[in-house]
Amino acid sequence: MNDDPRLRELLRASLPEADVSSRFNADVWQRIQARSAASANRGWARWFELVAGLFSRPAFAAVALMLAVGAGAGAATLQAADLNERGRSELALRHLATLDPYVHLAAKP
Amino acid sequence: MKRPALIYLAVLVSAVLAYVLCFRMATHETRQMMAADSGDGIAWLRKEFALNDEQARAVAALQAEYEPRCMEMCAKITAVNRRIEKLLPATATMTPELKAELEEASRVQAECRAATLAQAMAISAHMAPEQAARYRAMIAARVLPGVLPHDSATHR
Repeated sequence: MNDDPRLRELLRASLPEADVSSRFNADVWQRIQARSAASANRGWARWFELVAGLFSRPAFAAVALMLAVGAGAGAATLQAADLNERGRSELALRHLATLDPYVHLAAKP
Repeated sequence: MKRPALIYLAVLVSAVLAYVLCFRMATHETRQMMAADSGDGIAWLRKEFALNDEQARAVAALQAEYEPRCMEMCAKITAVNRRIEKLLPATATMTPELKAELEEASRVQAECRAATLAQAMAISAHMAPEQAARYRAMIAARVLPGVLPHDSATHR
């Protein structure tokens, strides 16, 4: 292909002259991040809408209620068993401290 | 959007209420025993070893009688321990005095163990046979660690 100076000049003249600011890259990334955050928020909103839709069905709401009560009762039972065991040990130790002088001295503050 | 939010709130409140109610119900007995216990462990003993009023009174009387003896043994232990603590930093070898105090500490320990077990046996005499055996095993496991397996005596 021959080098045509007129063609080269014509091509140069046709290119737009634009000033690219020094923050161009930063601005582009900022916009990308803003879009991503908005998309995530839309995801949450969709999820809440889905849950709200399910809660508006009486059967689902009843099941959720029963599950919540069961979970609360289950967690309480587990924690109560632990507290009862610790209380039982504490009381046994208190009694032992009235019998065994070594335990009595060790229990003294 | 308002109704589902209310249902969501109701579910959360129900879970919390279920937790609080179940926890209070399940720990009621322990909390009551802890509150009723005046430091002598009789309330716990009564519940744990199914003592009736008469048995509980007899055990309380035995404990009251034993208390001065327990205090006397505490004083002996403290005295011999102090003498050993005083002698130890002053010597780099086993002196006759230190050896004598260590022997005295062992003698006091044997005396305390014997008194503790004797008291446990006296208390167990006021219990039903099966409960008495369980009680004696529990005390022996704690007073004589290594002689009896602790867990098998206490968690039956």
